[in-house]
Amino acid sequence: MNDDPIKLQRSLEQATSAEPLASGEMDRQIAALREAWLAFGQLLDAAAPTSAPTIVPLRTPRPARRRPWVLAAAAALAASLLIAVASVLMSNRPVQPIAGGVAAKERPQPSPEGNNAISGQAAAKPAPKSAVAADVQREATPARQVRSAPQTNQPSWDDDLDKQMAAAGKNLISLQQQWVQRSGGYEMAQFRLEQIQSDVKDNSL
Amino acid sequence: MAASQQETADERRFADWVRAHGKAVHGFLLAMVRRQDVADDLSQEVFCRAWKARQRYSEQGNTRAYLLRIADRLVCDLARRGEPNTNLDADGWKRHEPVSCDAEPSRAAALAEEVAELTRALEQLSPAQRRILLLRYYGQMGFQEIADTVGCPLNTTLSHCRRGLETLRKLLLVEKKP
Repeated sequence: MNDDPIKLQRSLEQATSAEPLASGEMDRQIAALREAWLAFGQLLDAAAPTSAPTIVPLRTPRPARRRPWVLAAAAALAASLLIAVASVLMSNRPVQPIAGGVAAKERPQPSPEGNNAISGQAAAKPAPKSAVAADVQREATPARQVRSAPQTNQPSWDDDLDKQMAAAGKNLISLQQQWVQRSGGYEMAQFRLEQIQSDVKDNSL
Repeated sequence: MAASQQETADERRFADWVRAHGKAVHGFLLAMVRRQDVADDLSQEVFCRAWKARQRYSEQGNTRAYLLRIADRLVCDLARRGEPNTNLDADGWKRHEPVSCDAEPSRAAALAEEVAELTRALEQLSPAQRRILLLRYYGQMGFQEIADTVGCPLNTTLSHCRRGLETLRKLLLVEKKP
């Protein structure tokens, strides 16, 4: 058999062909190799198992069916939770004194009469009788706290939101003061009426 | 709907593959590893890998060659891992492939002799010769394709094939002659 690769390849292809070949097409050497090849094939076929092994395809798991409404509901739930947490955090935020003391500077000055009357009555009267005064006192306390808060060197908030919050706080305080004044007046009138009533009962008038 | 049709078509193709090439793949593996249980496992693995890669596999080309390339790679991986590769002797072949009870005793004896002869022949071949000859026999692959599969030059592949055939001729034809 020659060593020319192309001829060798052709010879081996003939010798190991699966198709039957006429012996006249091959030289003696190739025919001998083909004979060996056929004998080898017979042995392989004879020794091969009579039945092919059982082969089972491994099924790849199908992707779970997507449910868009579940995703939407989960997203909505997550968003609402976030909003709730954020609102709770915002409401629990401590009130910071505004630099420059907006409340202190612009706090409305209650009329001396009203204030004196209220404080005088509150001091003179027991608590149950002057329920309105107690309310006034309770409501006035935060404003007082804001006023009396120490002016620390904390950095001030100077963004727009803080300015708006400061303005809103100022308006609230002024409204509160007006209401305090009015309610103080009503309280005074009520007290006077009660006094007159008691005087009438006692016939002291 | 279309997905299930595609799945059905894939399953049909898989069944066709097993029917057409299962025996060849298993025969190749059995001749290479010479252990029935290992050959069974590897056969399963070959078809599973082919099944998983079915989307990438294009129908162009020889399906059997494609499956045998996977089988050949698995055998190489097995040898590289150094797992026990006990070659079966004639008794082992008989034990794993018992002769049917229905077979006549003379046929059973002939089969046992053939199996012993095959075992001897396979042992006489070098691993490279065995691999090339079995790929050629079971896959009917061209020599260039075999060279690509085993990763050696074409000339080397041809030399291995010729030497292997000469060994087989000596063993199966010359020595057999009285």
